[in-house]
Amino acid sequence: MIRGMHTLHQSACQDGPANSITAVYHQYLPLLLAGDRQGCKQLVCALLAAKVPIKELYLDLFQQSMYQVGELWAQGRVSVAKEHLATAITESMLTLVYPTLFRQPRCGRKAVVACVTNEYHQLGGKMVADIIETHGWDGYFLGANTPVEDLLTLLEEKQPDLLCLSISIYENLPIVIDAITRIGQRFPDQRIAVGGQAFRWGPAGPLERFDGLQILKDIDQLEQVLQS
Amino acid sequence: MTDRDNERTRSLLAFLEQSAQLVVLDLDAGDKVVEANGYARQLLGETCLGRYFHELLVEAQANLDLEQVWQQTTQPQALSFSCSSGMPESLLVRCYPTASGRVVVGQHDLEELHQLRGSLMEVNHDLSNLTRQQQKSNAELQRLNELKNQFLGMAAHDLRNPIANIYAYTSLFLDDERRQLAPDMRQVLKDLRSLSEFMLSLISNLLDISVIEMGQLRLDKQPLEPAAFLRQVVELNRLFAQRSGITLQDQFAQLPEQLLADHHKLKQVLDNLISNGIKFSPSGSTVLIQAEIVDNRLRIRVIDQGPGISEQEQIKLFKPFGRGAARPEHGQTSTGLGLAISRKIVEAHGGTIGVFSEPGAGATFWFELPL
Repeated sequence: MIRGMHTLHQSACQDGPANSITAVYHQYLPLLLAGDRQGCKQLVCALLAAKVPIKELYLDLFQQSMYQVGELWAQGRVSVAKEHLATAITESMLTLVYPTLFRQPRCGRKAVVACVTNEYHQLGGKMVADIIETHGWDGYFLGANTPVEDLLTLLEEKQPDLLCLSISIYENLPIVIDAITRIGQRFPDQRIAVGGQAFRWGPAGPLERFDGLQILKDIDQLEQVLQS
Repeated sequence: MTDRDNERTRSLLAFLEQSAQLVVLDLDAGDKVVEANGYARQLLGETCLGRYFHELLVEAQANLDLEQVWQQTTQPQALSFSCSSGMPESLLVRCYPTASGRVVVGQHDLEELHQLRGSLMEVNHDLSNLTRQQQKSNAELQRLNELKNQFLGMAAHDLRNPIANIYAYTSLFLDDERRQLAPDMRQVLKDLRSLSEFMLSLISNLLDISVIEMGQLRLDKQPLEPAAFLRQVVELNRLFAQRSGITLQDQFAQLPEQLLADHHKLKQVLDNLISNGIKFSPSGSTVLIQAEIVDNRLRIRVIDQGPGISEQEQIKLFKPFGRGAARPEHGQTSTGLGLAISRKIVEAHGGTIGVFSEPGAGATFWFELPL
């Protein structure tokens, strides 16, 4: 493994980050599926040491591998327990990035990211909060299953430039609609964006009635919002 | 029953025997295991055959009244088994009487396992969210600390010149013998000079500490001759010691001809240790400065006969403003930064610094530098 890491490190330096991540992905996915946290950690640490951009690490390794785990789960090729374990491992991989992530220069803008009530899939939301940090914003992540009352309290306290709501289960759309309605009543000027895996399974149409609400299909759209 | 039914029954029994995660134990009238299915042998070990049922339970349940368990037929009983993996396992157990004894069937509590997995996921989420919050707070604190150090550096820099002027003017008046100063005026000027001297040393230390904490401590390492260097520093401190009635004594073993170090910063460390020894020692006592080579390292010790330092105070001594309870003996002042600065300088040289002391028995401050 150590000899492999050396080769990986060299390829990361010589071939550029994109190539190295593609190479690492094929090593990483089997380790993730096998629940080998230490193996995953070694690969991620090598990429960080090679100064691979955080966005590429998130999208090309973490997101892609979790999408693949999701696919395998949908096909009945991995169990729910294994999918949960892969999620837990990926979350612990994010913590390896934090020392680099939070040291980036700040631009003085803030975003709050939350998963609404009943929404227990928090990984996507947390990755969004981290990507927000890479743009110099402060990204505050509230976690899974956040009651609207808690969200309103935090909005009062932080007064963020942007609120991002993450939704993974399409059936939770009415809860998101209720949350946006209540937030709009209390903070009419609050800029809100909604995104997540839920929109793979159903249309975002019911949200279109909210003026100014931004429905984000991917990270590129989020980045456009951050830069606007 | 048709042949097809028989086949299905055999297949079901084979499944229960080989694959189902059910523990099935056939006990004789004395509660000894005479048969065990595949999963039972896997979980409890092949040695479960021939053992008494109570021997399969964890130690804490070995004295359980099994008669009560056997009599409970409506509700499954939660029993904990000692497993071959070394980890105990709880199973929900039901008992069915047979002609020759009883059959015990145990299964995992799936609802509990399901809840447990959910709880573990929540705990993991919470932990990872807390880690994120903590790391973010750490980074914010780090930024604030850097800002504080910048401010400290700027403030100290701007204060230094006016205070240096006060020191220079008061010295000018006091040292000019042609001036006839009234005794009370002379005393005021002496106090002013003493205070401005202290403030200059405080500012100098604050500038040092802000530079060090911002990670900007730069060493200008040059070859120096340890014996000559040590003698020079001791001589410079001798006058200061004499004023306080202290004798400075040196004991230098055979020292190497050359050491690569930052002359100015190393002198700062040694000055600090010697001046502390003088400050905290009673008049008439001796401060001893020793130097020797130990394990290819230059070890320097400054040994005083002061009040000593408790173990509790020693812990904070090398941190900024980590002054001990003792006060200088001869009216001097202490900024509480000297040892923190010394530690950083010694560590930047790849060395270590420390103290041995007991209350009432003086103190030995030492540092070692690699050769």
